[in-house]
Amino acid sequence: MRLAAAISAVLAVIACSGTSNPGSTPRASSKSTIVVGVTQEPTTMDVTAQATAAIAEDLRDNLYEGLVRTDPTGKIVPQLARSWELSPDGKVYTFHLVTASFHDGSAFTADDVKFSYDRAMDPKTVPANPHVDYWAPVQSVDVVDTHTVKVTLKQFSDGFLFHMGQGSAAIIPKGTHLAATNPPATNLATNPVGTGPFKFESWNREASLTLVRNDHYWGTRAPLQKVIFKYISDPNAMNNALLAGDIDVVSGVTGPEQLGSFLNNASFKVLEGKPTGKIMVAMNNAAGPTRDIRVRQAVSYAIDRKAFIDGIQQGHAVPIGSHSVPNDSEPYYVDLTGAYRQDKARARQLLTEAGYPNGLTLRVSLIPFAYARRGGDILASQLADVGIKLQSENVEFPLWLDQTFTKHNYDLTIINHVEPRDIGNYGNPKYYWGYDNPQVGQLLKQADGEQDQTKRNDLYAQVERQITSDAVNAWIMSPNSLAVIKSSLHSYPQSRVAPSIYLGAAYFS
Amino acid sequence: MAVMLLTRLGILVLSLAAASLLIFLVVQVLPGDPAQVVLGVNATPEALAQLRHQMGLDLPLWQRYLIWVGGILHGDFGTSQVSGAPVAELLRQKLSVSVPLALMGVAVSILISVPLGVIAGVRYRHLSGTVISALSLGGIAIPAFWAALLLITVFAIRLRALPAGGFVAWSDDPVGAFRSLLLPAISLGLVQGAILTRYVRSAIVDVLGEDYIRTARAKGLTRSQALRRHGFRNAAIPVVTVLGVQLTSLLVGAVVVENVFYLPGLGRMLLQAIGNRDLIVIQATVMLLTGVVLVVNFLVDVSYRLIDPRIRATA
Repeated sequence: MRLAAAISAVLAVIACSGTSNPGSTPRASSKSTIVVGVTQEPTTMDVTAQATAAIAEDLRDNLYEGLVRTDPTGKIVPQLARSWELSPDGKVYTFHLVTASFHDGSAFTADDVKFSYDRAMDPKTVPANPHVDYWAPVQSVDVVDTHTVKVTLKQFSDGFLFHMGQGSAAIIPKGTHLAATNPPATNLATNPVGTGPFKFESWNREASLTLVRNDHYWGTRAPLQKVIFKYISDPNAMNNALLAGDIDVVSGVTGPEQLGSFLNNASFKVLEGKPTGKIMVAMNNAAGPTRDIRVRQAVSYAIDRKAFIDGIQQGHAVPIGSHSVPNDSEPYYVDLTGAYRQDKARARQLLTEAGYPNGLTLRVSLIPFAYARRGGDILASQLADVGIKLQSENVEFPLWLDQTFTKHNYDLTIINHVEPRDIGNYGNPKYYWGYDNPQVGQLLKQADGEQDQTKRNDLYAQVERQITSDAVNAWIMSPNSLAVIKSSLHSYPQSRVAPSIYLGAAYFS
Repeated sequence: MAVMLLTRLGILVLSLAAASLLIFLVVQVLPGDPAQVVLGVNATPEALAQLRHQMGLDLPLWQRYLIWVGGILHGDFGTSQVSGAPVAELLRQKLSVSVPLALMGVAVSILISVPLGVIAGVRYRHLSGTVISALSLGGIAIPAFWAALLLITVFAIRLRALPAGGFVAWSDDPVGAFRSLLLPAISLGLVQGAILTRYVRSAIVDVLGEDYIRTARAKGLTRSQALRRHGFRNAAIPVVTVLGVQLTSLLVGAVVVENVFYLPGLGRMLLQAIGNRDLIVIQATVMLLTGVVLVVNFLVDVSYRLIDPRIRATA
């Protein structure tokens, strides 16, 4: 009895102190440090060296800048190039540069642009730029004067300027990486230098990254004094950290079912932005049963997108029917979700025609992200309804890269293609889904070289229709970007179409 | 004693050498190409080949093993293939979290288990002894991460007395560092303490049934005097064995609790390194942990002889 009394006394104390929660009162407006909770940690500080999206997420636009920037909705806006002209034949970009300096004090000039682009284009560069294809259309980069640089293309390319707003197209100081260092400990990897509104202070691996304001910034000085990215991989820990006041932002909500603790709470704001990324069931077009278009179409007809959207994203996503997303980064988007509406009878009929009247077994490789693992369960039940038995293989990402992506040893896989404007991969027959259609390759080349926006979008739309009618993959949805921030935080990017979490304008009230 | 120490040391060195070869080979078997992980899905074959060369992955296996072991013998653990950071520095950083965390966890475990275990052992036929036994069983059943979530809800979110996670470097703020390890250590220590309580209890029950305790009672000592003078030292041996196992398992086995409290410990680094195929970091971390386990076992072995003169005599 006495024990029970003691327990209830303790509980009473806890409950009382809970009501006088100090964190629920708004903080003073003098708060000048922001702590951003991020799921994935960069693998290096060198934004030009590795493909990990987390590097650009933290560092592009905050620490590193490029000639142009992708705004939160996906539009291209000026950055280190305050303006530019394109020659009438569409081959020569002339960029006019701002007057700026790097964090190490050296002046930013046209030489740095030439150095950065030449270095990125060169296949012999160590470490290699993971997006060397961004520069494939470039013929040469020439310095006109200190503040003018000319980029000559082999032919007009629509993708070129867009890609210059991506993470790895950052401008780094001339001479970086050229010092003979013991690879790969190059200076940017541990001591990044850029022109951005924040500069590097410290990186405590598996814990946090700290940036401080660049007081000599060429543009408007950032209102915030300090930016701390905290790396929290566990979704529960992330929520607790925000509730306990240890962080100000949950930058990417991995399980929307957890939004419950923040909705209807005046201390927090839930930001739902534009959709990004393409979650899809990718299929092996070159080998196995999915080589047959009828099997791929059967898979497409078996799928009910709504079940995925509700089951994985709690409704916070838009359905997609081809390899494009309705946001400003892909202006050629056409809605093709009607091409394969769920039709189980049709799916079964197609399987019979393909020679599988009694159904068949397909392998699906699933990486350890919620969308893939949960999506795997939903897919298994939907395909079972039409007679396709799924054999799930749970793999970690390096194994997926090895078996699925490189060796093409798979039937199906659920994957989120996060890079914007990556429809060009359908022109590459060696890409992991093994789709070989010369007509599509030709259309893609034509589209990228077309200067007229309407005609260009039309050409891309033809590609979208073709790959959908060939059922190359079964496209499912594009998740809306979701973030939770403290109510006192303003000018935090609502959408996440840009490669970065830009904090140069954010402030607390 | 000296001969014993030397043989034990010899075995230790041989075990370390064998372990290094085993670890190296097992890590090489891991499927997945580190260069592909770094360069992602748009890399060109030339870039991949270049990076593999730069990482030294194109050298023959035996050469890579010799380079690695040679480096360790010179105190050079190498450079992370992914982040470019020196591995020794990474290990030092992680150990500054994991070692205090493991020690604090064991301290909590001892603080809980020794008094409770002794009471439960001495009063094992009474109600209080049975209640403690039942509680410790319950404690074993609780996963550490669940205890952690409860502690966070109460002490971090409701009371705001302690941080919900994260770590402040000892050099920046020793008090802050201690505070950030407190809840993780308690959640680890609660579970380990429950386990240890049962060992302490059964050790005490066993000792109380020994002839020398009856003899001690017969010559006029009270039960607690007999226990203090003759019992504890004998009961300590099984308990120290379990403590050694707990200490080493807490060093890397705390990974689940490290995740809940987002602590930058050894376990999380190892998990991340495996995910990134950072072979050098994986090898160094596993080698270090193996070294610690072997050294702790060595020390536990030596401590038996300090606790029990009979073992000393037979060695």
